[in-house]
Amino acid sequence: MLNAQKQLMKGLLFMKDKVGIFATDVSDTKTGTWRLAKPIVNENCKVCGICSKYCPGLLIEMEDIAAIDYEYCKGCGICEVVCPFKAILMVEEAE
Amino acid sequence: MSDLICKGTTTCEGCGMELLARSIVEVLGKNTIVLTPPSCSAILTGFGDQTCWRIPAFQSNLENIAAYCSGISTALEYQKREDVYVVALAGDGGTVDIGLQALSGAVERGHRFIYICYDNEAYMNTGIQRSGSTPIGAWTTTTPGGKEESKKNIVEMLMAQGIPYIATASVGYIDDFKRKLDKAKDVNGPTYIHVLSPCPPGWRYEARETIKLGRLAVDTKLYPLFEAIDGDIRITKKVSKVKDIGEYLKLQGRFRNITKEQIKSLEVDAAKYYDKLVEMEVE
Ligand SMILES: Cc1ncc(C[n+]2csc(CCOP(=O)(O)OP(=O)(O)O)c2C)c(N)n1
Ligand code: SF4
Ligand SMILES: [Mg+2]
Repeated sequence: MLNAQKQLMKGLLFMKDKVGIFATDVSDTKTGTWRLAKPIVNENCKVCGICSKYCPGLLIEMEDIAAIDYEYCKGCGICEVVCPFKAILMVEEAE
Repeated sequence: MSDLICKGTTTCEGCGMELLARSIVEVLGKNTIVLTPPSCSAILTGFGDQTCWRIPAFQSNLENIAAYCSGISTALEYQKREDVYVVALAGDGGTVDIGLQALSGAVERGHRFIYICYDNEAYMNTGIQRSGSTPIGAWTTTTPGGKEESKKNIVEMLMAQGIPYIATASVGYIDDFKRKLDKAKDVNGPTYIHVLSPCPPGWRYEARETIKLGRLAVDTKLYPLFEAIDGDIRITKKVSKVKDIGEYLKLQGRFRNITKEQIKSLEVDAAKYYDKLVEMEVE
């Protein structure tokens, strides 16, 4: 090792006691509670996968038809706009 | 689907940056170290003891994310870990304004890292202040009458430095972005991708229109998609039928008070720049 590298390693070892590991837990915010309107998939769905590609949360899986994870879906409505087949319509959440 | 970012993140609904972040980890995979500066992307890196990333992530300062990339990249070089990608996900303010000298220095020194700027055209995280990347005519809290100056062209600046790979992209055309990132990841040197990333609260539009706006910006020639490998430019999305800029502007509340002259200047500059790119393009 170069001398400079050795110095660097020494510095890092010194830091080890001073700096802890910060974020260790993976965050899990149930963002489905934010939703004002809910995307509902209808029989026009061709399982093309376009909505799933553009969902910012990547929360749509391609099953028999598009399956949306409502636990996390924030209700942005992007899927409704990008769907070429009008297979997703936003419906206002009931109280 | 990539699960390298947790499901529930606290970005706003319809956030273009969140889609971009998920696309990045999808392409790069788990052997990646991601850096974020203070910005909306920092939402992903953490609050308290929680993080959204399931890969190593580092929170830099706003001025120096590229300097941290340099350091991490150099450490990996010493460890002979060419299999690990170093990627910065920084906002436009932290890139074209505050982090510019660190970025320019890192590109000049030639470190291997991928720098992705998500351009939401203002300092959004702190409440919509203008940045060098805010377009002419756009309202922000610090340009209440609309910005009077044009958008800074950071891509041209970095090209002048001879960066080996650089590209523009838009979250509206996410496959095009993924292809570009796939190329950038194999370059043994600095790479940069500038991605237009519509922001519902900052641009004052309904969250549902994010992708539509990301596409309109390209289809109106306001935001041409191209890449340059060792300086050789190639337009990746040819615009043959130009859409009306008015269609793009009218969807966004931030352009409510844009003047006719400003629209004209947007139009003229966009057409001029696109023609220049066509002229410089290699066959
Ligand atoms: C040197 C410095 N100045 C100001 C700030 C405060 N600050 C934190 S985030 C932010 C906005 C950054 O804007 P941008 O890079 O465009 O990212 P966005 O918030 O739009 O995602 C600012 C100004 C800071 N952290 N450091
Ligand atoms: S302010 Fe804009 S960029 Fe920031 S999290 Fe919200 S939508 Fe995304
Ligand atoms: Mg910004």
